[in-house]
Amino acid sequence: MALSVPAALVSAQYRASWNRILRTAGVGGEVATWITLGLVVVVLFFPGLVLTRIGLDLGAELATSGDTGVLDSWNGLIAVFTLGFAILGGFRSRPSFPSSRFGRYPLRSVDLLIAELPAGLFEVFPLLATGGLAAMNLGLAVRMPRQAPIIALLALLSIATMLGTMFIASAFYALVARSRLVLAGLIAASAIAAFAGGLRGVQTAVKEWLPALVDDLPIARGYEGLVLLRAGDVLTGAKWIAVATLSTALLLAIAATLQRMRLAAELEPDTPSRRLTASIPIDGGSRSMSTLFLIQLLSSRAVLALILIPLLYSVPIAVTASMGRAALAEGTILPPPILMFVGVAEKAPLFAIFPLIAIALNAQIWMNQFGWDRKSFRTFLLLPLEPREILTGRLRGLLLFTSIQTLLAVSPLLAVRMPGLREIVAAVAAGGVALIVTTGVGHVLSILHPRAVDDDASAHIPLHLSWISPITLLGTVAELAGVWFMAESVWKGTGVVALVLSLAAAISGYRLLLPRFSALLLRERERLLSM
Amino acid sequence: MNGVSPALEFDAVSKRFGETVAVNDVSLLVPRGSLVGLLGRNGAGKTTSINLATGLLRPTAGSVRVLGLDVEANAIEVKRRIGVMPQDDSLLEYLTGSQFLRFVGGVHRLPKETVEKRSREIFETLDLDPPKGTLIRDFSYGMKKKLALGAALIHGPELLFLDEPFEGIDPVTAVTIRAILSSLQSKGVTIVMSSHVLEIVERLCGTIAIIDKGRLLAFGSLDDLRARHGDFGNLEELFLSLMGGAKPGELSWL
Repeated sequence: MALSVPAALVSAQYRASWNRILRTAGVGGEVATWITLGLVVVVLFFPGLVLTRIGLDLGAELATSGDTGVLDSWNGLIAVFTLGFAILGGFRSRPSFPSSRFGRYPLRSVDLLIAELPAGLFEVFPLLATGGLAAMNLGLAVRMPRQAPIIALLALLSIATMLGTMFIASAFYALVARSRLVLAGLIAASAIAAFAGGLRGVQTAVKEWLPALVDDLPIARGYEGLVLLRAGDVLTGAKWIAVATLSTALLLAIAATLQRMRLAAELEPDTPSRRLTASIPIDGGSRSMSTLFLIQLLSSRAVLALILIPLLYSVPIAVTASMGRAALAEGTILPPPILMFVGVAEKAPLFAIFPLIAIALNAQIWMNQFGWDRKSFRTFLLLPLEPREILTGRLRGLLLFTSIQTLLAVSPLLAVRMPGLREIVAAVAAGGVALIVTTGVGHVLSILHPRAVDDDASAHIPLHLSWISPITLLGTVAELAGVWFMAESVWKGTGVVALVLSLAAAISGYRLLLPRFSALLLRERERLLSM
Repeated sequence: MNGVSPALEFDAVSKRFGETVAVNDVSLLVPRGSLVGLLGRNGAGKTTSINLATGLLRPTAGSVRVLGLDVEANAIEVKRRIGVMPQDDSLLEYLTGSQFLRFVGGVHRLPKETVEKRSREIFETLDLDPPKGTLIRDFSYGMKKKLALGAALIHGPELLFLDEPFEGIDPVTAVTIRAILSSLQSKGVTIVMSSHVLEIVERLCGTIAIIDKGRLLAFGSLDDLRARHGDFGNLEELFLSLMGGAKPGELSWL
């Protein structure tokens, strides 16, 4: 019997993913992968049990009472998984079957989407959402055994809704990353929303709009139909289940269209950045290594978007604070949330926070420093370049990139106030420490766990390494805060001096460790070459 | 000592990738000024051998010496004196051709004027004329190969490794490259090149190395090989006889 096209695609995708895990799992190879998968199962086991228990409890209540509050709670949880996790998953999701690799085969877009649905499951958020939805519906089916087939249908519709929403969210993020105009519009809209709505607006949205939205979700109507069916109202119940099914089909059709548009858009050349690149002088000196790294980074639209994303934080603060200040000057009484924004913008260490935000956003770069130019890496190794030149090139490149990002991010805040000298020194010192620590950790991680970044795509941090970025950043921020407060408690005003001393210590530590990093790079070069 | 040392020396070199033995106990000695043609089927170990010689890979057993220097212990010095044209597309794709040559020349510490002059000559000789500002990633495969050859030559290497230099190259440029290689050899430069084009290897290379499943099956001049393996008509006949002949080229459904 002939293999169907989606089945062939999914089978190839799973085999390729599994082979890639085995190839790049690093130390311990297959064993490490199985241990990681075992840990994932253990970690997910207890939340799964809890969700099954919730399904059992809510199912028991739905089966015995017609309380609409119980249905609301159930639908709220379903919405968290189908929408919340899908939106989060959209950040990490990318097409499993890009046109660059699959465009040459006679594939229909419907085949691609059908294959994309199961292929898209194997990411952390869709996997968690699917597990949660399955566990909840399992509990519900135990309490309503006669309605089990309909519950199975609703569970499948929930998972399809989650995946469809995730693909739409992912296509939207890709659109934002490709179009600077859309990103600028988003920044402006968030700034206006921050001023117009403030925290009170957010509270209204959470308390009033969100519950109404959850109630009107087609999948929520589907579960309402299930309760009505059980209560004997077959006609209305069947109607709502049919609405849920058709709506899910419509959502998938929209997702398929967006997916097709996204795949087509990703084949378009990136002319403007090429013209820019061609004018940059490269002379082969030690500085060239950082320039080359920066050029490679800036050639990716995903990274270009990263430069602008910190503006999503600074522009709303700047707009709200400056408009709020003007309103206060006119004697207008402002609501507390706006006053809070104005207060935050007026005080230090606002400027010092932005280098840290930038470094946190750049985790996929500093955790995978060689994946972005893996093809060039062979050339570097063939040339008479010392490994330390390659490594310090990464450090300098990251410094340049983070500096551009931070300067751009804080520029709107200059409309509110100019930072004092102490605040600037604190920002440079704190950012410098964080940059050196993360780059150093990143050197080791990038050498031991290199991951190739395909054209114009972001390099997702694999599940078993994703804890490293938050732990490194939290540790660094805790160290910086500790040093600051200790110094301030001993002698007021010496916090900045302590931060500068921390930076000096970080630079010395990096220089001391550089020969070890270089030796590691040389020892593990074959791992990097096989990336 | 360096003046009389061979250009390339493999001493019982093996390279394993897990269970796979890519190069198996290979010993060879390439005198200076030779032009060696490295032949073998796909996956025979040609590229792995070149990668071992250029220091990209570390031998699992044995040692590699290049121009009298141990490659592992003197990696930077060796890389200063050799030129490598790799088989795969590993150029810095977000640079233009001139930027790339400037970068490579800079890494080799060549004066700026020298790099500019040599770059111009490389572009002219290899008929490499992309529109101004074109990035390497937009070059055709053949253009990338030509640029990689230019980068391997720009610093005037003593030993040149070329992995499939004629693959994807137009016939006119192929003639030019053959002329460049002959000229380099006449000036004492040692050249080790892998190729599947047996006619070119036969015409160009004074020394032939045939490798299969990681083992060196034959090494020497055509006359040496004739003496050892019987009188064959041409290199293709010898190669096929060492490989056990070709399979019948028929597919049941065509």
